[in-house]
Amino acid sequence: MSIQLNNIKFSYPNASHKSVLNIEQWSVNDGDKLFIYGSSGCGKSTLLNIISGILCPSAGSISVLGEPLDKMSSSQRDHFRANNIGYVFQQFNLISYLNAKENIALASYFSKRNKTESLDNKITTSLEKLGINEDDWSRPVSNLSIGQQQRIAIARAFINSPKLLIADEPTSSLDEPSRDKFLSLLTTLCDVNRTTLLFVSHDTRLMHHFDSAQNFTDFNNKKFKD
Amino acid sequence: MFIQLAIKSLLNRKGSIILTIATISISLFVMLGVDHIRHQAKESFASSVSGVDLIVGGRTGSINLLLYSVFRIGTPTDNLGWQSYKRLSKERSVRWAVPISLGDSHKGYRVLGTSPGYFKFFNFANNQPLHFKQGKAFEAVFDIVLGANIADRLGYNIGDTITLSHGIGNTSFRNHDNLPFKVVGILRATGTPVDQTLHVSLQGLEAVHITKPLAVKRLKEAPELILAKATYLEPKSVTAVMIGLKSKMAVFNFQRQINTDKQEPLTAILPGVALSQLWQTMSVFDNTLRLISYLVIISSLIGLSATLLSSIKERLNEIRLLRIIGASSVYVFSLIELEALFIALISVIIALVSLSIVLSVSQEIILNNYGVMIEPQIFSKSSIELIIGFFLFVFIAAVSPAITAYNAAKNSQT
Repeated sequence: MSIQLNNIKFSYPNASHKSVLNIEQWSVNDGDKLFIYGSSGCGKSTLLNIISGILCPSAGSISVLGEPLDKMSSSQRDHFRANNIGYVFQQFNLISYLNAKENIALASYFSKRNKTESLDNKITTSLEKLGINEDDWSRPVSNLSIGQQQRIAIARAFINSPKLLIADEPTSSLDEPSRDKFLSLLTTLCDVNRTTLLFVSHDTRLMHHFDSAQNFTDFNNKKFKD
Repeated sequence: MFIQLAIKSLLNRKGSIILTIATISISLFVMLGVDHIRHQAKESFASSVSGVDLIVGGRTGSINLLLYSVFRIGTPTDNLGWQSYKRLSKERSVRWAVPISLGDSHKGYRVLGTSPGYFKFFNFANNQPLHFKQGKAFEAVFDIVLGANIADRLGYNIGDTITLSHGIGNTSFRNHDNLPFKVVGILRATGTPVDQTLHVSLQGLEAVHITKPLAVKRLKEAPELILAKATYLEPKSVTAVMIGLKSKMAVFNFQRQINTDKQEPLTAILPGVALSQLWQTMSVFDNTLRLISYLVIISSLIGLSATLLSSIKERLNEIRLLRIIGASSVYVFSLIELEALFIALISVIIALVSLSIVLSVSQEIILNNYGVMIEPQIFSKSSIELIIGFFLFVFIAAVSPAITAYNAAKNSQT
């Protein structure tokens, strides 16, 4: 089981009466490529932040890749995230004042995984695979196109060979041809690395790229049971 | 990687960071400069006279007497009679007495009339006697001994002739150019007002003030007249007398004796006491200056805090991203602190380098105008303490933006 949630409840501390998440039972299998859809503002991103260990649930238990996140300290969760989880956002995936190679190296720096291969080699091969021109490797990423930035974000997300990849609306700022190219790259890489993929979007047209699809509101019942 | 990230992030915000560094450098420059000059001035003041137990002048204030007799600043209110000098020098407790006369100048530098004993008894710093770099003390009426800076600045050598001007200032209307003096000695540098002084005999000073044409003519014909043969040139009065006593124990009694002298109203001061009085009168000014320099530092640090704080707002995405790839909230906090300390470090370097340059350039100007020796060597215990304290305050100033970043990292609500 890649992700397992039991009786998860969450509300933000500054609005504790307003429930954001209330999930009784929910799980994702290893190696699944799961598509979750739902309108914006329904709590999808909050769920992703809980799965990645940035936020802690108000109640309930969560285990990711067999590790009980709710029992970890915040620094343990930071290490766990750096080592095991890759992340791709809609935008602001990269630090604008670093170049492509530095952005990827930074992600590797926070992970304490054994680095068998030389990091520089690993970065250059993955950039080549993702079709980024060598000229663009050392330019500040703010000078690159959105499409290029998203592909570098994929390289960044995969640098530590994560077991779980979380993608939060990563295609929303792409046009259709780049969107399809992006999605096939992403799914291929997940297959090759045997990475579980959690893909969140409001755009149901993307559904056919994935093994299964779920409506977020089907498993999130916002009303607390009193 | 941590340091590299901080540097790249600062470079990315060059514009506002350079302005912040400029502000902080200037305020550090002021603070370190004020501190350095304070210490140097104090040291220079304290070392300007030594080995002199009492300075005696006509009835005046003690600081005034000190200022004109030692620092050649201001003008004497009253002279003391030659007879009083004679009487004082014959007192049992007096080991030596050296008369000094001021009033003339040469190209803006003060001329001091004195006796040859001055070179033997007057000390500076920690009882260091005056040394001759070249030549010797004056022996003839028209001999002159130069302070180190005068020889340097005006390019005089042994054997050159110099004419004195009446009064003080570069543009004196009356020059004593019919009776020139010959340079016989140049003193080694002392870092005290002695370096800015020309020394002649009292008789020489008396001679140039003679107005009777016949007497002038006679003097002109005897430029090698030695002091011992010029008793008729004895002055009527002198500006002050420096006195060394046989026993230091006698100094207070002797001071009281002089201050209550029945024959002439006199003032005797202990140079050390008068120096510290002078320093005390300046301490209000001194403390105000120091307070201002601290306020300038504080305002620049608030500026730093504001710059960093507003940058956090623009960097929320960056902070969220750092968190996602595994940076802890503490890491984000430390990153902001490190950036602040980098700004501080660069500012300290700029301030120290520019202060060193400015001090070495202005050293001579300060010495000439104020008779204070300022070393351009700025590393002292006090300046290092100030710099360490400054870094501490930078850390504190960066706490508020760093905590804002920490909180943003902790509850990244997307």
